[in-house]
Amino acid sequence: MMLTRVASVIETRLDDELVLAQIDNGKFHSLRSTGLAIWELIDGSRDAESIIDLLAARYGIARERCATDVGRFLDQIAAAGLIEQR
Amino acid sequence: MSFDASGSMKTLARETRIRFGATPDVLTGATMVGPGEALSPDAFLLSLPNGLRFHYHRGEGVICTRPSGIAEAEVALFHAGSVHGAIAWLNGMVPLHASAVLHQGAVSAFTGHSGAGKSTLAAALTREGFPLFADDVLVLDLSAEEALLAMPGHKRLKLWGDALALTGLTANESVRPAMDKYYVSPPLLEQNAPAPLTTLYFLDPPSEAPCAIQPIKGAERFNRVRSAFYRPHYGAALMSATETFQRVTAIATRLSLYTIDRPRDRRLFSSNVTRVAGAIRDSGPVVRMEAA
Repeated sequence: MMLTRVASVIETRLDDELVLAQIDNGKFHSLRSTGLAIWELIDGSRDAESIIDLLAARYGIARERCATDVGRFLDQIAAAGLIEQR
Repeated sequence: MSFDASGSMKTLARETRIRFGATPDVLTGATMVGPGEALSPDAFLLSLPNGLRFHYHRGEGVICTRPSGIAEAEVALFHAGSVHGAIAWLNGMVPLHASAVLHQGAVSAFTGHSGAGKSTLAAALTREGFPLFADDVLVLDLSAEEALLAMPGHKRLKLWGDALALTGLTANESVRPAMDKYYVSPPLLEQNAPAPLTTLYFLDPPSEAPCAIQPIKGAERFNRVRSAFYRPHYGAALMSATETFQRVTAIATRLSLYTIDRPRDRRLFSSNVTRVAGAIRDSGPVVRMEAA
């Protein structure tokens, strides 16, 4: 299942952080560092596994640990309604 | 140097024009109703417990119902406050809860919660040679591409009794009967044209920390700008989440934002003012870049 950002989220970059707005409920979120790196990989062409592979390689960390961190973050932004699976 | 915001200036002047007469008891089509206030997509009603009432409708100006015994200063206080803010929001502008001074064509503004010292700092800066640009409400026009334009505001500062002592300014009349807050006319020249807002300072609560002026970075800029809105619930009732996001972003990306940490010790007030004055001078004049 590919991960994709929901269409009702708009974003703006402020320095090293990204501010996200959910236009359907007016909530705002911000992402930085690793969270932002994960967000940038969510483009509708990757599933969670391939994002974990990419980040584990990029940061040179054990895949298992990376999977835990990425999984937790994806759960968090899915619960906030920022991403969906297709 | 001048920036063309004559349209917004004229709109504000026209729309805030006040006359006295009958006002409705309730606002039809209201989308926001709070204690003593109601807002619809094109009108605003403010009803005070003392019977003073303001009704604004876009394109028609302000009608005020003033019961006998209500002082002119009382009318002016609310006309320059909530009513002014509502008119700005209803006409596509953004009012900030800020006092501001002018330096070499650029506006520096100070925001913070009520009682944070916005007016006191602006008043003290007039004594350092910076003309007062606005007190308490600073209206922004976001429609110009070249700059974030601020509209000159009220030239009567409101200061608490203790702030008068700090700044050495002299009181005129009191803001409300039996209130230890006074109108003060700042000593310097007036600016009556819009000017670009370049810097917004946030007056955080005084602490034991030494005086410091620190830049605000990242997403914090977004939250800080939202916190500077004047009567934000009016804006929220009128704007979609997308519009809010776009306006906050337009402001957050075009301004330098700083916090001002101030020591609690009032004996350090004047050194704090000197430091802020230095920061404003260092920020330099507005340089307008134009293609040939």
